[in-house]
Amino acid sequence: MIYDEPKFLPGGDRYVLIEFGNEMNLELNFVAQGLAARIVADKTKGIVETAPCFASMLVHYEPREISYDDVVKELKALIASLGSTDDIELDSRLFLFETMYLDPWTRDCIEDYSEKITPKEYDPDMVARLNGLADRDQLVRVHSSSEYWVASLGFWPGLPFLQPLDPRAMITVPKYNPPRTWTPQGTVGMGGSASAIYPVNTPGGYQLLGRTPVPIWDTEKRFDVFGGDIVLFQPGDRIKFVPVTQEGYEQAEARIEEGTYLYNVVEYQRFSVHNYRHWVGKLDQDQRF
Amino acid sequence: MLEVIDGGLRTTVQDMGRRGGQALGIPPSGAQDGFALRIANVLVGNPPGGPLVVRDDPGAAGLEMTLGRLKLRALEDHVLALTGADTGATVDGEAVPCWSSFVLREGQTLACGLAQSGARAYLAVHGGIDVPLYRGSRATHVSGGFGGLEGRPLAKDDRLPVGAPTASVADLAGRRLRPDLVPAYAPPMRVRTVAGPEEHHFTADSVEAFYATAWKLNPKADRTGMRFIGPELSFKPGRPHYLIEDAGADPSNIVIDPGAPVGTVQVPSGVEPIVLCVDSPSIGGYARIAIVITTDMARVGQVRPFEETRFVRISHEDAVVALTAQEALIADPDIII
Repeated sequence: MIYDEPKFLPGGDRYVLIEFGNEMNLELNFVAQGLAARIVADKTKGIVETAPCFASMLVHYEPREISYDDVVKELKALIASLGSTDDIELDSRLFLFETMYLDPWTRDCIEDYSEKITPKEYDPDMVARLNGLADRDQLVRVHSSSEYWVASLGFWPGLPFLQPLDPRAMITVPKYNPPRTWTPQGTVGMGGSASAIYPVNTPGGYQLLGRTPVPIWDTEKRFDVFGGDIVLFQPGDRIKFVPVTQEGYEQAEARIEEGTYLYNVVEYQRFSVHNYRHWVGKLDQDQRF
Repeated sequence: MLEVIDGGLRTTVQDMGRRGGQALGIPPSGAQDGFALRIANVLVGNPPGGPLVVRDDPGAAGLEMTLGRLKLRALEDHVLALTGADTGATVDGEAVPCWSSFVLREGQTLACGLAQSGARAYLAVHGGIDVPLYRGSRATHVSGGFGGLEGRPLAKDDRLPVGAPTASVADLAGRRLRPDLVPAYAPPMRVRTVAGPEEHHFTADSVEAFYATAWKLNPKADRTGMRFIGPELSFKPGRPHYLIEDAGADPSNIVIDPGAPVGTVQVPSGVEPIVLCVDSPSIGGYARIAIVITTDMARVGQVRPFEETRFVRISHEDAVVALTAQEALIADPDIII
C-alpha cells in the first residue's frame, strides 16, 4: 500500500528513516527521489546526506545541529512542498547497454552451482515457465522490451536496483536458496520483480539471464562518462538492455579493454511522472512482447 | 615516509570515513573503532575528525590493524601514537606504551605483536598518512578496491607518505591519554542500542532474548558485518500477504529494500543477528531489531571472535546525550596529559 502520510522512524541516533509505503510501486520511488532532489536544493540545515531506497529513504543528519523532532518537521514541510506526485520531474539519463542474453558465462555459473551446491533448472527456462512465457526466447524479448529505472543503489557499491518502466515487461522470480558463491561480473539478473547488474564478481541470489560487457564500476576511472567517480549510475537513471550476439559482446568487450569504447548515453531528457502515468494508462497491461 | 616491513594480519589506511556516497551504494568506511583512531590523532597533534562527517572532516588518516603484527621502519623522524587493542609494541626491541605518543627516529623499527584483548589497534602519525582522497576521504574499502593505499591492505615494501609536520617532535612526544579514559576491552562487551524499526515483528520473548543473551561473535566477522551466535529469534505469526509477494516467504524478509545505516542489527531468518559495520552499503533487506548507537560502534569494533557481547537498549534521547558527551570529551584539551 501507499501510506497516506509517510512514516518517520528514528534509525539510531543520527538517521531518520522515511517510509512512503510497503509495496513495489514505482510511484513510491518517484516520491523518494523527488524528496532527495528537494533536500539538496533546499540545503536543509543539519542534513548530511540522503539515500533513496525503493519505497523509503534514509536521511543522515547531525543531531548536534538539529534535533530528531525538528528534522522530521523540516522533512514533512519539504514533502508537502513537492505537491502531488504528478508534478514530480526528475533528471534522467538513458544508458543503452549491449547485453548477451542466454550467454555461455552465466550458463557456466549455473552449471557450477548445480554441480557443487544443488541441482537447478536453467534460470531463463525457470523464469519463463514461472511467468507463463512461451520459452526462453520470449523471456529475452520481454525483458529487453522495457527501459529500466534505477530506483536505488546498494547491496554492493554501485549495484543498481532496477524496475521495468513498461508494465508489460513485469516478471517476478524467486531468489536462489542457498545463494551462489560467485557471479560473473556484468551479469544481468533478477530477484522478485527487480533486475540488477553485478558490478564485479560477487556472491549473489538473483536468477541469471544474461551478461553485459559494459563496466558500471571502474576504480581505474578510465571512462569520462563516470565523471571522475568509480560508480556509473545515479538514482533516476534509466537503462535499456540491447540484445547482442556473442560476436557483438566480444567486439564491445575488446573496445572496452582498449579504452576506446563509447558509452551510449542520452542526456537531454527529463522524466515526467505525469507523462509516464498518462502513457501507462493507455497500455493493455496483459499484453506481452 | 614509513616503510612497511610486514603488513600484519590485515592493516588498512582509515580515517573517519566518507560522506555523500550512500545514495550510490558507497559505504562510509573509516575506522571500526573511531574513538581509538581519533584519540591517536589527538595524541600526535592531528585533526581527529568526527563520526559525523559534516563539513567534510574525516580527520587525519592513520592505520587500522586487525589483531596486530604490523612492522614499520621510519625513513625520517616521526611522532606516532598507538591506541585501541594493546599489541605489546616495541621500538627496536624497547616496549612503547599504548595510548601515548612517541618518536620513531629515522631507521628505527616499530614492531607490533598480537593483541591480547580487543580486536583492532590504531596507529596515528603526526601529519597523517597522505594517500589520495576519494570522495573527501582516505578510508580504504578492500572488497571494492578503492580508497587508502591502492584500495588494499598494506603489504611488505609499501611506502606510506606522511603529511608535512606542523609542530615539533619535542612538543608532541610523550603525551598520553588520561588513564581513567583508557577503555578496557573486557568481555562481555556492553553495546548500547536503540529499538529498530521492525522490533515489533519479533515475538516479545525473542526481543527479551535479544537483550538477555551473551552473544558470541562469529569468527567470520569483518568490516561489512559482524554476526553473533546465540539463540534463534522468532517472528510473530500472521505475515501479511504483500510481504510474501514482494519480499519472500521467509518472515525475516521485510518489504523491498529498506535503508540500513551503519549500526543496524538485522536478523536474517531469525538466526545470528548481524551488526552492519562501516563497509556496509546502506540498503538491507531483513528485519531490523535494533540499531547500535554511534558511540558504541567503537566497542563493536573491538569484539574478538567468540567473545561475548550484550546489547543494552537505551532511549533515542540518551543515545544523543552519549554522542554529545563523547564529542565534548574528544574536544577537551585536558584529556591529554
